[in-house]
Amino acid sequence: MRRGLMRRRDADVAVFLGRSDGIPTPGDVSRLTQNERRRADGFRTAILRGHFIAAHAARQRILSAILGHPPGELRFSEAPGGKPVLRPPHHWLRFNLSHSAPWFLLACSARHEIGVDIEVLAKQWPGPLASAAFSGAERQALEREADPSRQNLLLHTVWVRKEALLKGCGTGLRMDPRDVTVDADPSLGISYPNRAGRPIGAWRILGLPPVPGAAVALAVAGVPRRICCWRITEASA
Amino acid sequence: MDGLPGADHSLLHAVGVSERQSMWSDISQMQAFRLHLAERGAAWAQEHEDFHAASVRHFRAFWREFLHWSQLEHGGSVAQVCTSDTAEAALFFPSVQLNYAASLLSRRWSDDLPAVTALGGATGPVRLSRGALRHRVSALATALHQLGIRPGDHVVGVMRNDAEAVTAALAATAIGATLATAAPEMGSEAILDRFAPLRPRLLFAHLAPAPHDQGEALAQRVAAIAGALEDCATLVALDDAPIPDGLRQPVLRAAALYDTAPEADAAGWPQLPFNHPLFVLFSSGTTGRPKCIVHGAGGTLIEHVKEHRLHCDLRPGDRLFFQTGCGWMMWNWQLSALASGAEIILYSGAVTETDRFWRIVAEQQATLFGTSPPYLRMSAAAGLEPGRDLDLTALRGVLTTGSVLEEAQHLWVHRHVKPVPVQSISGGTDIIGCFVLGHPHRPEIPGQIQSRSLALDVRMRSAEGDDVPGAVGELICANPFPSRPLGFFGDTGGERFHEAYFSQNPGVWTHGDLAEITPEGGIRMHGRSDGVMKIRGIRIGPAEIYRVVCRFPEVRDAMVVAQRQPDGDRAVLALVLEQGTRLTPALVTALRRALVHEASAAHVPEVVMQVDALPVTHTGKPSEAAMRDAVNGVPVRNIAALANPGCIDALANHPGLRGNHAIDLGDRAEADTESFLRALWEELLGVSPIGRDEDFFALGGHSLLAGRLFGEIEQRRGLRLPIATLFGAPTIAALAAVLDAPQRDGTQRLVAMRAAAGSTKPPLFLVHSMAGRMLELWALQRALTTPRAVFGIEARGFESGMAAQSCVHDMAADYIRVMRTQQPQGPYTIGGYSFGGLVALEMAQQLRAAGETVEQLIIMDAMVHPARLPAPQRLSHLLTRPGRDLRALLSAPPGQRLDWIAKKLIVATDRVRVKLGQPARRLDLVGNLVEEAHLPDDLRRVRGGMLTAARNYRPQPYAGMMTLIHPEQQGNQNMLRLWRKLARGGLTVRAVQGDHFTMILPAEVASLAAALDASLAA
Repeated sequence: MRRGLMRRRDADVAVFLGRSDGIPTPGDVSRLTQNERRRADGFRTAILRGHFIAAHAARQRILSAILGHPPGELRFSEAPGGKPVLRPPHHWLRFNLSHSAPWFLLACSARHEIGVDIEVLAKQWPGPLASAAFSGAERQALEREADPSRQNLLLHTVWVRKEALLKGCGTGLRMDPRDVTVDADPSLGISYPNRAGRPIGAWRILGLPPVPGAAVALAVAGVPRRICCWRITEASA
Repeated sequence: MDGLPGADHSLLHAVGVSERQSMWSDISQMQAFRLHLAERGAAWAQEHEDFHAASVRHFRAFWREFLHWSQLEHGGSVAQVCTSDTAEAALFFPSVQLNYAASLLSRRWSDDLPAVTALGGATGPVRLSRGALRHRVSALATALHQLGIRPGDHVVGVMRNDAEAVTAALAATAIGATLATAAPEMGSEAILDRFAPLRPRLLFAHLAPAPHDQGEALAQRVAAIAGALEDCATLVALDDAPIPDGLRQPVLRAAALYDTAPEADAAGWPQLPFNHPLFVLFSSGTTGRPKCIVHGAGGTLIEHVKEHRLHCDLRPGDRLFFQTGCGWMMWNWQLSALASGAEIILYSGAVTETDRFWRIVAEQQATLFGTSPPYLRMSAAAGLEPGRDLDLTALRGVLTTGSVLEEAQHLWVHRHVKPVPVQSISGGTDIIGCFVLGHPHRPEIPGQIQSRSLALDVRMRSAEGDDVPGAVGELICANPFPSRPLGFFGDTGGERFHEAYFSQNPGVWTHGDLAEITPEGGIRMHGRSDGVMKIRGIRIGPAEIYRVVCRFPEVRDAMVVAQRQPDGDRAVLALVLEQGTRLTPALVTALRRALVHEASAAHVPEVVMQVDALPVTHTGKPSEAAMRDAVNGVPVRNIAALANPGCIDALANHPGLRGNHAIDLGDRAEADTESFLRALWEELLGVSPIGRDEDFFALGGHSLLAGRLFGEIEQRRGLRLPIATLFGAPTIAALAAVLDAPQRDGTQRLVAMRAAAGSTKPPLFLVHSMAGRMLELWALQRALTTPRAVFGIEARGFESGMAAQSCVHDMAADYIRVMRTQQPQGPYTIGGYSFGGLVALEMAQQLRAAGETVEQLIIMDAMVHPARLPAPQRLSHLLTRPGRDLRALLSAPPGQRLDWIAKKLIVATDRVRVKLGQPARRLDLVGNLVEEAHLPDDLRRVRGGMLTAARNYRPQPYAGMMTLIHPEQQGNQNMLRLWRKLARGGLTVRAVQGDHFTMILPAEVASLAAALDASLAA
């Protein structure tokens, strides 16, 4: 079947949203790499460990379905800066995983570098964290907001956007988060991060469909033609 | 996504998703199944770029995984998936047991989930939840069991499409009975034809009349049917209408039986073998009796569930509304939707307003609507705006089946209903499923079907091979598939079964449909293969004619069949026109012109007639077989299966069908030449009025009609003209001028093909090819745009008394003489196609030797006898000679082989004679004696002469400039090399489309004409 016509309709970026109940199946655990298993064991609570395992197992499943390799045969390595990547010959498939119990989010792209982040809206976020990671312009935007609950939302918005960007870059640029400014307005579908007023490469930050009780952001380097957002349900299993 | 081979992209495709989604879409069940396969480490699923290809290659693994993933309740071992590698013998899951009804009523989903909503009955809508339906079915199943129905017994139903019918069907199949159903609109005879051979033990029937019923009252018909079914011991009435008199059997009311205390719930229903007979379906037989096709439970269930879940993405919460009745396989198909947790909507009422079904979709908030192209066409013609006028928020897809979905209807749904996927599905009663259907992730291209059915090795087999993009071929299935029927009822040896599906292409299932793979990877259906006509030796599919004709807004419906005539079949086109429209000669002319322009001259039917109705079967399918019988004057074989048998008489006795009658011109025969010709043309072409400057071929004329035309001219005016006259004089005005002009002797072999259009350059003289005459180049002549005149030179030997020539030198000299009667002096422009190229070359040589100027020599793929080719080819030709001769000998009929040898010896002797300088005696024996046996003698002699001439002619180097036009598909580099060597004065090469034979045919000739025009302009 010729793919020429289909390429125009292909998604440049696909994003998968999933939800776990925190109870991993044995199958899930076996799908993890050694490193991941070690990290899982480091979790304080069983629930957090369960969510971690579920997110990574799902990542394996989706990537293996795309690539055509059984999950156990996927090989990962770390790019300089710590970002997980696939080993050749699959290195062309970029991906990024984020999880915040009970949700996990996986973005994939063949064409663009991407970063994704999801954070469940906490009741109240500790203030000092903001000053440690936010730029001056972002702090100003927060302080301008009088209503505390909306301020919380703006804070999470800035946080996920910045995280998505930094994860996407893989900190290869060795960026100090306080130097980077992202837009705080949650209603913006697309915004451009900047560093001291200058754009950061071709990076842009895109909104995703809303996730109940959480903030989400997707960072893409370049102009994606089409983004498809899928939710994985348990109905099939 | 760009990627390496082996990477699958369909997981990431989405169709119809806007650039910025506002909601997360659920992954489709196709994607979920693929994720499941990845999780199970199913390496086979990732082997191919295309999931369909992988599913076919590893179909056993596919079905095993699908059975597991679908959670269909079953027992037994799945170790053996399929018993054979051939479709005819294979049985699936021989060691698995299941229960069809239990799967549909599975407890997996909540009992409160809606199962059935039945509309259109006298008592208002009936809604049953899954729990309620299961309860009723258990009660009825128990009752049936108590009445003595056992697994394998036959149960039949004459039922409207309502909740009682569904309950009855599930109850019967729950206890292992085999069910056959019919819709109440069908006549009793037709129903008995179907049911009687089964010897059913029990009959379900509706008795209450409905306002839209026609003909005899339903209750009477049911009584007659029950009376004729001897083994039928019980009649179960599905409503509470009065019981008709004279019934032999006791009658029970289904409603009362629902109160039976169930002995066994769904869990207690028998687990039956996977291949236990479930349904008997009937195909409206084209050969008298309908075929009784027996389908197995497991195969039906698993195929339906696969199509529903993977192809249509059907899931709990979906509401499927399919326009169907109990006499059609789509009823059984939509019934199985319960096995995927979906709700089915049934309608048994009348269709009083055109928008009735759209209203149902809106009122019930159906998510999937199944309909047919005729209903879409009707909706469009009525100017409906369902998208604007009705609430269709829940609708997420439209399915169509029954006939080919055209682009116009597809786009109408998008524009006037909702921009949801419109999926055309095609399969058949024979497989109770689909060979081609929709796909949640493939692009939706109007006019095309998206995908082949997973795990079914569906191919389009044409003369060019399997699945050649753009080639129309027979739809076959090459691997075993579960919904292949168990067989025909009563066909114990399986011979009829084999004959029906496995005889045409050995080893594979031949479905009887024509289809093509499009370059985009979709599928386009072209109608039934048994509808293909052979007109004047050309195969014509009716779909090609419908495509053109049905675009006319005046045409509501069309059907074309072949009518047998003494001199070959002719095409008869019957049209149903819009209300109040009459078939005028102008409309006929417009239709004919459109067909010539968009299809070909061969597609123009000889007879075009208007009728009030075309024959359709009870399922709404048009029946070309019935029309074919009607116009051929034989009794219609499947008349009992027709919904409107009354239209047959009108077809059979239509005045337009009168055969090749003698042309009666009346008093116009004696009028002046133009009026005489006009009268003649109007009678022959069936078009009127014809202007004096209208082109014969554009009006649908063809060579046979041309022959008749000139025959009539000779008979009535005593003038004998060659048919090729039509070239230079294709209009009434021009032809009249020729008739009135004084004769010119001896130049009848010079044919004026094209008049000069203001050019002062000398004309082009073309030499004939192996055909001997110029008529074969008429398509080329019409496609030329050069302003120069074109003449053709025909071979000697067609008129009695003139011997055929067999030497190229002699021919060249003779043709130069003929040419000089038109143009006494140079400079000359000469050309020739095929054999004519050789003669043209020799003419150019002789002219140059005589001091004349040959401005241009144009060779159109001239043939060179293999014996004259350079050494390697010549050697190869000589070495393979014995093989070829042997093959030719064997191709002759056995009794005539000695004769063949004798004739070849005579030819060998003749060849020696020619070498010694004497004329050949038996030119008619040269060439392929078997294939050319049917040609007339004079043509055989002329061709024999040409073959001999070509054999003995050794082309010499040519000092002048040469243009060689050759077809790119030939790829014969050795010919090119030869010509380059011969063209000492320079060679211009132009490549054109097609091969040696197709380059002059209407389909490819434009390329040749362009090349020739360019050469003449230079």
